[in-house]
Amino acid sequence: MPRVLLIEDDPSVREGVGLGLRRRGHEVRAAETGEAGLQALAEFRPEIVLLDLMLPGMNGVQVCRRIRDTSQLPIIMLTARGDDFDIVVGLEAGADDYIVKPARTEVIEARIKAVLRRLSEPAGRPSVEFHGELAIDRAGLTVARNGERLPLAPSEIKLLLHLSASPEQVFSRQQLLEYVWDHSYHADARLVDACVRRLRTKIEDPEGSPRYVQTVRGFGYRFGPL
Amino acid sequence: MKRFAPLGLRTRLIAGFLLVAAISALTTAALAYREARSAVLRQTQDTAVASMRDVLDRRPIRLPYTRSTDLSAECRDIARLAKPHPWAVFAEYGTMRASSGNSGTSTVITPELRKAAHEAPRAVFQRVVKDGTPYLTFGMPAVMDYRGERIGTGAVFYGVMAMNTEQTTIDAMVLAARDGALPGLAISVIPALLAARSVLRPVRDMRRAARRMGEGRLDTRIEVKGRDELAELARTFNETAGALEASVQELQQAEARARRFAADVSHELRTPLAGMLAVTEVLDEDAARLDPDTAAAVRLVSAETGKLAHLVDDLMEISRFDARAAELHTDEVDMAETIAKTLERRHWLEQVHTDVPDGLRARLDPRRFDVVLANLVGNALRHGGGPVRIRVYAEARPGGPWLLTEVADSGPGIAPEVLPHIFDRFYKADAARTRSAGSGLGLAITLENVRLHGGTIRAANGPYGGAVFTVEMPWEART
Amino acid sequence: MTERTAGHPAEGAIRRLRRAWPAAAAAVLAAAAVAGCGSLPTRIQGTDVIEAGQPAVVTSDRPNGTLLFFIGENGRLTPALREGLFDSDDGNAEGGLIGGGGSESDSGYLLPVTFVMSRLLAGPADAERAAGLHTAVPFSPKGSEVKAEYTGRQLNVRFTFPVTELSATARAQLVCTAYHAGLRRPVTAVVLLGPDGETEPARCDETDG
Repeated sequence: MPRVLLIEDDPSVREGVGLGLRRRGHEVRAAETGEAGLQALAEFRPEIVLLDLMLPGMNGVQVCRRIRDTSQLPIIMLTARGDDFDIVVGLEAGADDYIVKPARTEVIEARIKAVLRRLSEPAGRPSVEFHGELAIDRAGLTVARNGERLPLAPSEIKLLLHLSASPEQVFSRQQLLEYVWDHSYHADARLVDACVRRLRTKIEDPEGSPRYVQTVRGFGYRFGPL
Repeated sequence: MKRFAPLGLRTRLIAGFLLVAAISALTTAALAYREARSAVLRQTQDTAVASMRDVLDRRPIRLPYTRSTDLSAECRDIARLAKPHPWAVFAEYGTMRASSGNSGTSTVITPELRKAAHEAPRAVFQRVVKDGTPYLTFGMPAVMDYRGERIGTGAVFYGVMAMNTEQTTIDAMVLAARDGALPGLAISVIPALLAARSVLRPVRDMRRAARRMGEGRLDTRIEVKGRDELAELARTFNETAGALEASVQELQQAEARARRFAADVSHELRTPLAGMLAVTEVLDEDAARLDPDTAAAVRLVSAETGKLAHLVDDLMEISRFDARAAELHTDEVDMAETIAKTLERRHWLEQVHTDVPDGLRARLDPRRFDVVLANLVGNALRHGGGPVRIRVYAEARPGGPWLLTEVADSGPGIAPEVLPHIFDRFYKADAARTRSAGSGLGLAITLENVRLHGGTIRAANGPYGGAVFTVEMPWEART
Repeated sequence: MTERTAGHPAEGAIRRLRRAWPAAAAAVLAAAAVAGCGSLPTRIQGTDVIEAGQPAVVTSDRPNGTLLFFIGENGRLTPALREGLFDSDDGNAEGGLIGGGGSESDSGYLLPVTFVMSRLLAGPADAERAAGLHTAVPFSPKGSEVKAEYTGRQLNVRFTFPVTELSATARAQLVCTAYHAGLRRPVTAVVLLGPDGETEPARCDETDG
């Protein structure tokens, strides 16, 4: 069972979520502030971070950026409906998914599992594929551009793997939410859009239109054609 | 009700002004004309009669006239001195007839005039129109002064004068009156326009202000000029507008306070609920190991916590609509797929029949549309009963195509008294219905979501019974 | 609610009338103005006979002449003026010049009366006859006596022929001629006397002729 770092200032949520996850066999470390959470990272070495956006002192978005500066740890934001703007900022900062509070433990666990899930590898393909300047290692879950390894967050690499598995096939946002995020069909499409934006800043040429992840107006996204 | 087509205020003002001007101009012209006309006629008559009298007065005559030639000589003398313009003179004495001209008698002089001239020792005149020509005829009996007494001589002199000159003068006067009155009338249009303008400008200002207020700009005021009735009206308008603005503001503030309170309450409830909801599973799992009473209590707490979380969720959503903080995140979707996913996720595929054209794509917020459809189908399944039918179709309308989504159930339908309130918050159609049916906000949230898409929703009863909800949205929802 | 909106039909009619009345008034005014305008005669029209002041007053070429009243061809009393009182152009001057009776002081005034009346009785002269004058007084033989006297301001003229049977025209001739003949003025009435009686006191009213 994965080790979960919960950064949450409200004691009842901290305790309740901690209790629920531990019952399901997770190893949970709870931190009260962003600073405490960042400190616990090195020592606790969590596999996933549950991050409340509304934190006293250093807020959730800042914490998220600090984590992304050094690692590609999966991050799930805890948020309240009505904090739309924070969700967008959080996703831009590199969060892989978000959960709206209040949520049942089973929902939280499902999201954790979804983020940590590896995509099923297509059979009979070489472990490393080359697409233009990109080298995609499906087994090692790494991507290199011109031989240089790119730091991709879990949601970013999963999206790239999914799209590149069927080049030139168009996927709607709703479909991508289902396949990549394990969300229901009608979940928040901003997850997809934010992830695509982050991915593009890493793999695409900053000048010119996107080559690898292309937008198909009115339908969704596709990989290529190169 | 109205018998006449109502004329504009401007038209009425100008018409009234012109009418007054016309009446006064015509009346003045008519009176002046009458006076001038009778003055002209009187002048002529008096001059003629007086000039004949002047010629005859103190004139020595010999009575009786023995020869008609004497009488003719008198006539010629009189005619020579005729004023204001020439006239013919006739004379009668006994059976003697004489004139200044060739004919002895006149065809113009009436018997009445002759009778009057003979009977009364007074000068008389009569205007006669003969063959279209007006004549002045007058009779002048000659009396003789005899030792201080007036003795009728029996001689009567007559003058006959054509009044063509006077007719010309009168015609000229009519022309002058007309030529004076018409330009005067035309000129009076200018003050009429000015007066209408001065009245209508405040009216127009007021209309504009009223319209602006109707558009919701309650701070609209009118500039008050002068002290007339219109200024008074403008002042009253301003006072009313001020009072209206104040009370509307008060209402808005009260409503805003109430909404903020609701939002605050639900927000505050959310945090403890988040903790509680996270542990309900623990309660459920361990309930089996507790004694029955405790187990029941624990399960109750768990279940109600879930419902409370749902209610708070809905309240938060409604608060966001009230605060206009709800955002539309549109995406272009395949309608059949979208609807199928909604039903599939809730395990309703078996109970619901769908009629959606293949490949029908629309632009909408998929999450919100999911909420709309789930609420309507859930409602249909709960209150109406299966089978539930969903029909989606397009309709051409001015401004672009619309997407219509129909959800019909096979239940008893909606009672007529319930229909107007069906989208009200916390409205319970059936007082006895248990709270467990839903949060009471489902249809209200549905309505708000449809409105956010720029659409409408209708509830009605189908031709074969059963409730029919119809969602109408623009094909491409604006974000 | 329904009662309020329905209203009484008559009420509606009255309201309509009220709304209509200014328009009606304007229409009436306009009509009156037009009618007044139309009734104004632009053509000179005929009139009845209208009085126009004093008659012409002529003078006689014989201011001291004798005024006699005869009958004109039109049957009206018509004056004739003869030479002065003492003119003797017709040869009747001396006849009955001085009448008898009456008071001493009256005789001077009365002298012309008998003289003038005797001239009237003699009938129109030739020139007057030529002008169509005649007399209604029965012809009297020359020298037929006339006497006159005053009773106050009433002039009594006595003839030798009967006077009560005289025609109105003849009486008017006698009364008017006598009225203007006397020297004492004014005379209030003239009475004609004859052997058969006397007439009512009368004034000279020429139009009665």
